[in-house]
Amino acid sequence: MKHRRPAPAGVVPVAVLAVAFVALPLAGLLWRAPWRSTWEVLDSHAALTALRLSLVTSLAATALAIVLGLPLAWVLARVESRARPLVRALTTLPMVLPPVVGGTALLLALGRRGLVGQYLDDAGIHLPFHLAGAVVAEAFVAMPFFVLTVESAFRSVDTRLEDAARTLGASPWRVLRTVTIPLARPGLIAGAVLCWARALGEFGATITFAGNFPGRTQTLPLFVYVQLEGGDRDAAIVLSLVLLVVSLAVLVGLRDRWFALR
Amino acid sequence: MSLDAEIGVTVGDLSLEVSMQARPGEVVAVLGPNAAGKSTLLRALAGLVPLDRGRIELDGRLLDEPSSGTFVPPEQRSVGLVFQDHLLFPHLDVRDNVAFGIPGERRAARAAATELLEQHRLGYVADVRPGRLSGGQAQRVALVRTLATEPSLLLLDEPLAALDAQTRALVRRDLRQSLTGFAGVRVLVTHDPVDAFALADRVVILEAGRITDEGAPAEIAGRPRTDYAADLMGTNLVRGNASAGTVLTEGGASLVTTTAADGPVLAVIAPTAISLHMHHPEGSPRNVWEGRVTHLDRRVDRVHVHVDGPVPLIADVTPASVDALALTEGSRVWLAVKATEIAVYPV
Repeated sequence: MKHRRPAPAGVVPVAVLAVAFVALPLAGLLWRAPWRSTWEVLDSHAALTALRLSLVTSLAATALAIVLGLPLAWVLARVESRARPLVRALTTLPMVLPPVVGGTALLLALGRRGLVGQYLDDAGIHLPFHLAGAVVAEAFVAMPFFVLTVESAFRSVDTRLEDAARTLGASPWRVLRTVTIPLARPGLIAGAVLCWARALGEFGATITFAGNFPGRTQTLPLFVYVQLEGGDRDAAIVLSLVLLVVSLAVLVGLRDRWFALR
Repeated sequence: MSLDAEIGVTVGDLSLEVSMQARPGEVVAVLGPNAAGKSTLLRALAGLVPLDRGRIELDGRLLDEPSSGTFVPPEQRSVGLVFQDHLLFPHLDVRDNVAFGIPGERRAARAAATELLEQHRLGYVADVRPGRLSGGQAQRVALVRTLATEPSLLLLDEPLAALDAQTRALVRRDLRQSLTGFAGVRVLVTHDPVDAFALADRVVILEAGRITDEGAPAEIAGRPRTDYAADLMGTNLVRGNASAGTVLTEGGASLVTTTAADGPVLAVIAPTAISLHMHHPEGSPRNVWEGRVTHLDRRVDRVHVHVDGPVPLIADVTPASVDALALTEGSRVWLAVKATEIAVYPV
């Protein structure tokens, strides 16, 4: 028999209200969706361009986050140092930082006259208001999702298995490749998916650092915003739905990870 | 293949200072209580913990010497380590686990692994993931995996501790067979004297980071030097001063013995050599005194009777005699030990 705990008066109604608070806007989106013209919107040149740009930049940003974030996650998980909490705080800052602040900071650091940007510019590397800039902005905001997830995945790997591998003749690189990474694989996949989802939805840092140029840096969220402001409302709604479906797919894909504990 | 090591390591509260030599082909058992530094000793030999002081030399090759900045990483040491809880890689099947440490092309390594598993009568688990093995199977696979690297020095860290009694006997037999075919030095860490005696040529007793006794198993059993060693061998150790055959114990009692030694000595009294009586016994025993039973430790067919008195001792008697004497905790009892039953040797 299940044990019942009486709920304090009023708690359940407010909880229901909270669910409605989240669900209602989504319902609104579905309600106003121009179902009949969905295909025409998706087939339009401008929408396809934004979609393609978003896919390219978010995947590139995820790749960048993996290349930089994997070593960082390993260091956070395995290197004993008093600087560790500081490093972790610094690298997760973009998670809580307002994205527009992130974009401004990127501009001041990597912009044409920025701290590092002036040398990049001399070297012929142009980030602000270019596709590569959108990739950098998305990676800046999304990388912490990858790093934190992978750090905890690395921590869950028994270091004594790594010791055993060393005594069997494996170099530290081979241990990472054949023991640590395979054992942390579910966490690596989850981290990459989360990172990608965040990059796909990135708005503030991208528009600040990379601008809003159709066909160059105008990703899907930027396109939706522009259309809603004074263009094609239907297009904005349909593409919002596309992003919603992606988010739901991510949730469903990672459900074992988050909802397995009951 | 020989080992010559002076190991000085400080890890947390533990300071380990151990001098260890082993001849080619020798099996050394390191016995010691928990937290004595046994595992740290093996990890230092394997290169998983760098030395703070001293040096390790294996077959004339210097592996670790902080004073000269020499440190050979574990993967280049040719030192194999078998862990208590086997530590098989859960994402690889048994064959790939064994092939992991075999150098060269992967397909050849896998074929060699299969052959090794068959030699050790484990061929039938080659395709199984470690999670589906029994404890005994996993430990035997772990041993094969380490032997496959053909190490010069084989380290075994409590290889039988995680197994139940029945499996332990089986794996011990298996271990002995596998170890016999191994040419290098073997160092076995255990807290079970049965394992040490079944497998080792020499026993080292390690307590709180220091070696307190060392010798052939029979020597250690017959002449323990510390309370831990005596307890391990299931015997009574008494410290005292010998003079004209009589040992004056630290507790102030006199033991009549047949020793010719003079000065500080250790005396060993086997628990089975002590007889218990309701009244002062008549006849030949030279050492007789009254004591109080503090604890009855009942085993299958024996009872260990802990008796407090001038010389605190543990006597080993049958359940029948415990009943006949109506012994309970707190009862008074007379103990008798013949002078010839007390082994005395200089400290």
